[in-house]
Order: sequence, then structure tokens, then C-alpha cells
Amino acid sequence: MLGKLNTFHVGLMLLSIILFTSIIFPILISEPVIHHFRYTEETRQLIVPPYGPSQEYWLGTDRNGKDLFYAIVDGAKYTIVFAGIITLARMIISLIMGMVFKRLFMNSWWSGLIQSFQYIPQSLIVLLVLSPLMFYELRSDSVLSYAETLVIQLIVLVAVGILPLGKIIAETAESLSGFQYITCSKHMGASSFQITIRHIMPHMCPRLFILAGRQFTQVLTLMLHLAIYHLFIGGVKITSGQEHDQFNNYSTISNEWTGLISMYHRELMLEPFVVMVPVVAYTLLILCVNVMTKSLEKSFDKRLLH
Amino acid sequence: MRKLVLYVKSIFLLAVGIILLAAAPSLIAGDNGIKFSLIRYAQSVFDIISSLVTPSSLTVYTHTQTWAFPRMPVNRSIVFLNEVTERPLFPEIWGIVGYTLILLLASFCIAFTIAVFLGWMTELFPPVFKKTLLRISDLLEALPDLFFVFSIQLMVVWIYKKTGWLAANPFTSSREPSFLLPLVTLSVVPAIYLYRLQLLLSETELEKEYITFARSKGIKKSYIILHHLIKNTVSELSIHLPFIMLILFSQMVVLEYLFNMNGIMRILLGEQPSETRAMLLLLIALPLFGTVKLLRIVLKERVSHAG
Repeated sequence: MLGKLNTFHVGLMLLSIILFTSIIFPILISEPVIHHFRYTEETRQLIVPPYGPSQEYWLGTDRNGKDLFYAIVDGAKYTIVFAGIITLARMIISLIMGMVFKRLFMNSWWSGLIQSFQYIPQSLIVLLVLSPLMFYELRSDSVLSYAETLVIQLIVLVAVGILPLGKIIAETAESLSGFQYITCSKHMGASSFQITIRHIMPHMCPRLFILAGRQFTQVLTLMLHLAIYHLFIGGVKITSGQEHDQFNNYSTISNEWTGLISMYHRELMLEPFVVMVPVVAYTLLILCVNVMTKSLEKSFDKRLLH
Repeated sequence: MRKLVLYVKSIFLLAVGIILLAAAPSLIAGDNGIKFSLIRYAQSVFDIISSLVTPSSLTVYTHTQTWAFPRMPVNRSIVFLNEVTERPLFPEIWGIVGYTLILLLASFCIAFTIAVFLGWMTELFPPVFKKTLLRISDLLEALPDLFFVFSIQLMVVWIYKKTGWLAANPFTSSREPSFLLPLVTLSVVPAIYLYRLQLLLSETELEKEYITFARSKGIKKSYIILHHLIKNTVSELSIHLPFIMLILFSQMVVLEYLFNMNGIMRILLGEQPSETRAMLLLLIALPLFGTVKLLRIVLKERVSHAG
């Protein structure tokens, strides 16, 4: 049993542990109280946030005194679940589309049209579509309710990815259906539905897992790129930055990691550790998923060789 | 002739696809709230196409914020006046489009050259080095792009703090645009990607028979690598060029905000009429497409001549 344990399983276990902790932890422990300043009597020293890492705040606090460790643990579930839902929805829809409209995706006119997705980044499309809906005037309410915001964001993020992904799946299916035994079963009168289920899907499945892993990292990157432009998954809260409204402060409603990175980006030159905490967490997540995908690829290659 | 028709067709389809994407906001955004409407979408696609025919009519909105001191007898207060002015798009836009395109294409060239050069160097090393280098590039490729951006920005500032030497301008100010640092950060991720690809491709290429044959004839290893291996792997790299372009462009979207550059994204993502957006997207995407196609033709020609 232990011999079969590869990097993929370790990564999967790690991810589920993070997810589990992130769900349980905020239920058991409430958010630490914000101290706006600290005064030590003996040394007559006044400290204001951001506090550095200490016993009380494991990863320090941000400029408002918010505990970063709590924010990171709380935000993990939103990050993983959002990216997971988007990836899953994209995979399912594109799989169905790629299988049913295989011929269409191979058509030169249609694939020429889809080519525009290869030259226009997804982040740009999502920003163009969503930014008029998400951002609102200062001191007014968001146009959409919280649930509406979430649903429309998920729909757009899924929709923007299904066409290119569908093309990849259709191409893979096309190359798989070039095998001789498929031609044979066609001659013997098997319907195209049966060929898809019986002959193409078993070969498709491992490839789909690898594709899903890549999609997951792509979605995470996309989320970060959107967050840089203050488009946070789960909604944005806009507050005034200064007395004359020279600039706005954008903050995430959920403590989702990409949103935290964007929120603390201003601290990059002032207190680098504040922004580096979510950046490192996010990097480790992507690294974990990438390593898992690579190990899947390797085991898949080995199986092909034997 | 047949090839030319194919190219024209794919350019035409790309342009149509971009116009369809640029009209996408009207698919879901109603007057207030969300409303799906295909009719409105078709209407706005038609509008975009009809106004793209006359490019001189395109306009761009600029938002300005002025500091004003209104006349008040008692207390002097400051008011920020937000103004929107409408100006013609051309010829003002050429400078900005040029800046963005030069950055994209230059970093593309840098990434490609560095990746091929490093790949060539690596082949000359003993195989043990090659394995470790492949591992390292595997790890580096898995890191997100923003990690590099933050690290480079922090490093430049750290060096400046320690030694007082500013290697490059980390932010665009009103006086001087930052150019070198965005260029470096843009080319890091594609260079790593291409380098890793080059290593993987040359691994499979080395096992092919013509290399063994050349070796058995007593040709030097360095000659084989330079004249056979690199040439063939580079032509295989050309399949991945569109993907590299996509990486570059999507990084550019973010870098423009992070380096505070005066590029095209600032205009594109502001409040603009959709036909202007379509035009801007076309102005960026078509040169990228052209570069990819041209490079592919050149690389393929060279290989067929060599073969």
C-alpha cells in the first residue's frame, strides 16, 4: 500500500487537510481582537500595526491590525473551492461540448474563430465583461446582491474558458479515434455514442485529470490577475481612502488569497512581509497542484510504455 | 497562392473573433442589473463593425481629476472635479500602442534568444548537470508569474537601499517611463518555459538515429549540437509560439498596473465605447499574430532548406 503512495496522493492529502482546517478553524476560534496600538509600561514603548510575527500573531498583522494567520486560514477554503468549482464546471461542459460537436471543432472556420482566444488573454475578457457590473460609486451599494455577484462571476469565468478547452478535448478525441480498433468497431456497426463511451473515454480519462490539474493552476492565475485589478471573487467592498476621496480602498469580502495579495500590494515597498505572507501561501498552493499534475503525467507515461 | 488565401482567411476570422469578444459585455449587462439578451449583442456587434469601417470617427474618453479651490468667503476648501472629455483616437494612440507592442515583441525576442542560448550551453555540460537543471526549471516553471514580479521589484529596491544604486526605474513616474524592468520581468516566465521545452525536446532528439550516425562518423559533439540539434529543436519550438504570446500578453495586462505604465490596458479597461475597445484589441492582437505566422514560416523554410 505504502509503495503505491506517490506524490499525487501526498498532494491530495495536503490539499484536503488545508481545506478541512480552513473550514473547521474559523468555527472553533473567533477572529482575534484588533489592537490599534500596544504600549509596554517598562520600556515606555508604543507600537502600532503592522506588528511583526510574534507568539500572539503567528504571521503578524496588516496595517489595520488584522491577524494575517487567521485571514490566510480562513481564506484558504474560498480560494480552493472557487477555483475547484470553476475548473470542474469548465471540464464537464467542455467535455460534453468537445465530444458532441467534435466535427465542428475540427472545422477550419470555427477553429479560426476560436483562435481569438489564443491572442486575447482571458483576464482581459473577464475584466471587460465584469468590471461595469462589479464596481460601484463610493458610498452607494453594489448593484448586485452577494449571491448574484458570485453567480455571475462564476458564470463568466467558466464561460470564458470552455471554448479553448473544448477544442483541446475535441482534438484529443480526434487523435484517439484514429486507432485501428475504432475503425474496426465502426465497420462492425457500433454507433458513435457507443464508440465514445466504450473506446474513447477509457483512454480519455487519465488525460482529463492532467488537463484538470492544468486548468486549476490556470484558473488560480486568472483569479490573481483579476484581483490585481480589484475584481475579487466573492465581491469587493469599496471604501474611501482619504478625506477628499482621492483614491478608493478595495477589500475582499471573503478573505480569499488572491484578494489579500491585491489588497496588500500597496505594502510591497513599506512592509514586504505583509504582502509576502499571502503570496507565499498562494505560490505553495500552485506549486502543490503543479507537482501533483506532473506526477500524474509521469505515472500516465509509464503506463503507456508498458 | 493557396497559402496566401489561407492566411487571409485566418486573419479575417481572428478579427471577427476579436470583434465578437469585444462586444461581449453587452451580452449580459442591461441598463440596470443583469439581463441576457442576444438581440442587444447582435446589435452591438453590428454597431462595432459599422463604426470600424471609418476609423477616423473613433473616439476615446479621458478621465481627468482637477484640484479646484472654489471661491468661498469663510473657509477655503478643496474640491476634486472629475471630468470626462472625448477625443479622437487617432493619431494619439499610435505612441501608446507602439510602447506596448515594442515591450511585448522585445521581451519575446529576449526570451527566445536566452532560452535557445541557455539550451545550447546546457547541452555542452555533462549529463548530471542537465538532470539537475531540468529539475530546477521544472520547479521554476511551477511558480506563479506574480511571484517573479514582486521578487524583482523588491530586489531592485533592496539593492537601492543598500548601495544607493538604482539599477532600473521600478515605477513609471510622470518624468520617465520605466522600460527596462518591465522588459526583464516580462521575459522571465516565457524564457523559463521555452528553456524547459528546449531541454525536453533535445532529450528526445538526441536519441534519434541521425545523431548517432553523425557521431559514428566522428563529427565533434559541439558541432552536432550547434548544427543539428539546436536547429531542429528550434523549429519544433515554433509550434508553441502562440502560447508564448498569450503568456506575454496576459502578463502585460497585470504588469501595466504593477509598474504603473502608460500602456494600452489603462485605456482599454477604462470606460470606453466598445468600438474603440475592439480597435485597440485588433491593434495589439494582429501584430502578435503576424509575428507568430512570420516566425513559423521563416523557421520552417530554414529547416526544409537544411534538410
